[in-house]
Amino acid sequence: MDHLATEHGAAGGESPDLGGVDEILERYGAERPALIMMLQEIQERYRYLPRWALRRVSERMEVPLSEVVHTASFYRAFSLEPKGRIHLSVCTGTACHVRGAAQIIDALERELGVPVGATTEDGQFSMSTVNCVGACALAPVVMVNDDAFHGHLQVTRMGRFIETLRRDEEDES
Amino acid sequence: MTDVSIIEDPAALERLREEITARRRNRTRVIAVCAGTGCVACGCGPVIDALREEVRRRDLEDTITIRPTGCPGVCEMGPVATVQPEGILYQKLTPRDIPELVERTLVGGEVIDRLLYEDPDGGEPVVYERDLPFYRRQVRTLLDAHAHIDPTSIEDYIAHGGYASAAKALLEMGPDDVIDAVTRSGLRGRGGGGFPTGRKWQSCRDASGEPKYVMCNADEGDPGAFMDRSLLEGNPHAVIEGMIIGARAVGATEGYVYVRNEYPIAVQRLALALEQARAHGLLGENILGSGLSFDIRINRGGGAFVCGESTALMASLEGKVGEPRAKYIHTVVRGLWERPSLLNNVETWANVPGIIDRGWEWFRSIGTERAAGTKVFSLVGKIRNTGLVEVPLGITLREILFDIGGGPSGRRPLKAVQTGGPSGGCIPVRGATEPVMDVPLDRLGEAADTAARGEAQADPLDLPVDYDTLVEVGSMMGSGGMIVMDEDTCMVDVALYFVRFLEEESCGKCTPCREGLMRMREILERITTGHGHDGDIEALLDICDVLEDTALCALGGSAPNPVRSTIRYFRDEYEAHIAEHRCPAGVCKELITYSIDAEKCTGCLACVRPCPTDAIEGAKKQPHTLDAERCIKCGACYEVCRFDAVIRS
Repeated sequence: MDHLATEHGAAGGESPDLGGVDEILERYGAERPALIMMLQEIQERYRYLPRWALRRVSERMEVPLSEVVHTASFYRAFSLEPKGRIHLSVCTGTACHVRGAAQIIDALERELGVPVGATTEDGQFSMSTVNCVGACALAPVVMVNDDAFHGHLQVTRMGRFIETLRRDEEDES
Repeated sequence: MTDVSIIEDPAALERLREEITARRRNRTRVIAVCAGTGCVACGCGPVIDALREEVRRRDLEDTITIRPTGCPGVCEMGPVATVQPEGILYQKLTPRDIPELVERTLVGGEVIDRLLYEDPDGGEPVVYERDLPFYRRQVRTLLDAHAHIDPTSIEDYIAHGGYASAAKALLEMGPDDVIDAVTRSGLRGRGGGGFPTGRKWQSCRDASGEPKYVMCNADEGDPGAFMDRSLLEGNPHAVIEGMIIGARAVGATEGYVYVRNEYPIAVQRLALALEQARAHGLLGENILGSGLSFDIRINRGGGAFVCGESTALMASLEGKVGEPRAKYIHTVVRGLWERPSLLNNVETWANVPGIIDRGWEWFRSIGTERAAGTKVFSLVGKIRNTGLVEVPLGITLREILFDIGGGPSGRRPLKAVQTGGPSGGCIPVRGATEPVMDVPLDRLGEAADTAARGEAQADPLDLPVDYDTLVEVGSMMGSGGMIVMDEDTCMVDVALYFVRFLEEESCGKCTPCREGLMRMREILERITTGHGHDGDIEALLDICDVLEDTALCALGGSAPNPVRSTIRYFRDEYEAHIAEHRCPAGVCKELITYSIDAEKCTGCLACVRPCPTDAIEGAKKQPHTLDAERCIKCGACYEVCRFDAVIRS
C-alpha cells in the first residue's frame, strides 16, 4: 500500500481534515468493534476514505494501518478512490441482470467514456456496480448518489438520462 | 401525540391502546399510501405531500388519516394507495389526481374509475384490493399489517395490537413455555437454511455463558430478494417485538440488528422504532415490569455478501473483516465475543409475535406438515405482476407464477425460476402455460404431502414450494427471492453470472472456494464466448463435487448449485454453446449477430437514431440494413423495433 505511506498525504489536492476525523473517532470512543461504523461515517463525510483519514484512524486507535486498510478494502461499501459528484450505482442483482443490466452498463460506459469503477476526468460522474438494491420490481435500476432510484431503464434512453443528471447538477452549482 | 411515558405493565399497555383508539374514533376514513422503496422510486413522496396539502386546505385533518405505509406488495402498480374502510385500491397515482381523489372518494365515498387497476387481458377494472387476482391466493399473516401501520408511528403498531405478545411472553409465560410454543409451531428459519427455530432457541438457552446475545440478520444479500427490507421498512416494531420475546426465552440482555448498508430507508425506520420503543420503556430496564432488561443496537453492514453467514456476520459485528470460521462449535454456544448468540432472520423474528399471540396451533395450521406458516417471496424478473407475495408454504410454483404472477411479462414463454440466490438453483418451468391445478387453500397441505411422497406428477411446476422439495430439485428456499426467466434468458450466462458474483464475494480464506470459483468462471467464460470444448461440462461438475465436499462455509459449499442445476436441466444449452457455438437464447454477445428482416421492416427509422455506431442505414419507408462490421451488439435496435424486424441469431 505504497500510496498510503506518505505522511497524511492528501489525494486530489484536498487538505486533511484531521479534526473532522477525530470528532467521529471520539464519538465512538475509538474502540476496535466500532471500526466499521467509524469508517462508514468517515466515508459519508468525505464520500470516500481518504488515505490521510485511514492513517489518522490507525494512529488514534493504535491499530496497525494494515489492519485498517484490510477492513476498508474487504467491504464493498468502502471506496478508497474519490467518487464523482454524481455517483451512479448500477444494480446488477439477478432481476436486473435478466432484464438487461449488462446492456445498461455498456450504454453508460459509452455515454460517460469511462469504465465501471472509474471517475470522469472532470470529476462529475463515477459509476460502480452494486449487487442488489432490493428494488427488483423496477429492474433494471440505477441508484444516483445512494438515494435516488431510477428504474425501468432502457438502453436507448441512457443518453438522455445522463444529460438530465448533468444539467441538473450544473443548474444546482 | 400525547406525552411519552414509560409503559409500566401490561395493563398500562392496554390503557394506551384504548386511549389511541378512542382518540381516533372520529377519523372515519384512512388513505394508506405505500411508502416502500419501490413506490418511493415511483414518486409516492409528492403524492403524499399533495394529499397532506389538500386535506389541510380543506380542513379535513380531524376526519381523514393519511398513512404512509410499508409495501403492500404490488410494486408493478406504484405509487399505490388504498382507501379504508372500503378497501378501494388506486394505482399509478400522481399529485394531479389528488384534489379529485379527496373530493370524490375521501369525502364523497365514490370510486374513481380511471385510477383503478385494469386487467391487461381486458377484464373488468378491479375496485377493491381484496379482489385483485394478485392477492387472491395469498395468505398474508405478516404483510396484512402493512396497510394499517405507519412504520414511523409506534401508536399505529400499538393500536394494531402491537407489543401484546411481548407482554404475554414476558409476564404470563415462562421462557420454557415460549420455546415450547415456537418449537411446536413448526417455524423454521426464514433466511434460507430452514433450521427449526425452536430447537435453535433451546440450544441457546441451554448454553452456558453470560451475557447472551440475540441478533437479527437483515443482511439480505441474495440478489433479487427484498422481503426483509420490506418487512423492516413496513413494520419494524414487529421485528423488535420478536427479538424481545427471543431475549426472554434464551435469557439475553443485548440485541443487534445487522442491516445491509444498501437499505437506507430500513435503517432509518428501524432506528426511529428503537428510539420510540425505548421512550415507551419497551426496551431498556425492567420491560413492562417483567424484570427483563434488554436493548437493541443497529449495525450497518459493509456490503459483503459473505456477512450473511452467521460466523462472518458476528466477526463483522466485532468490527473485523467478515471471514467465516469452521462451525465445529455452533454460534448458539459460542458466537459474538465467544458468547452464546441467537441469530435469526428478519422474517423469522417477524413471525414470532403472531405465534405467541394466536398460538402455535394457529401457525401450524398454515402450510404443510414439514413446513408450517407462510413465506414471503419477492417475485421478480420476466413476470407480469412483480412484487412481494406471501403464500402458505407448500403452494405450487404454478400457482405462484400464473395465479399470482399473471404469467410471463413479455412475449416469450417462461423457462426457469431461480430461487435461493447464489446458493440456489434454477428450476425448469418449460412449457408452462396455463394453470391447471386448482386446489382449495385449506387442502394445499394435503396436495404438498402427496407430491412429497412421490405420488404426484414429476413436473416441477406442480411441486410444493417448501424447504425440502426445493433442495430435492437442486435449488433451495433461500431468503425468498424468486427470479423468473423466459426463453430470452441464457442459462449458461445465468450460471456465469452467479459464479462471477460468488467469486467476487468469496472472502478468499479457503482454497476450494477461492480457486474453484475462479476455474469455474474461466470455463464458463470460455463456453459463453464460443471457445468451449469437450469435457468442459464434466470439468465443471468435478469442481462442483470438490467445492461441496471441502469448502469452509455455506457460501462455498452451496456455490455449485447454480452451475449444477443449469447443467442438470439445461444441458442442451451448454452443448449448443460448446458444439455449435450458438446461444439459443440470443444473449451471449460473441455468439450472436443482429440483422434486419427486410420483409418485416416497415422503414420507420425507429432503430436508426438509437444506434450508437450508426450501423443501421436506410431511408423512410425503405427496408433498413444493418452493417454487422460496425454493430457492437448493444441491443438498442432490438429493443425499439415494434415489428419484430430485428433478428438476433
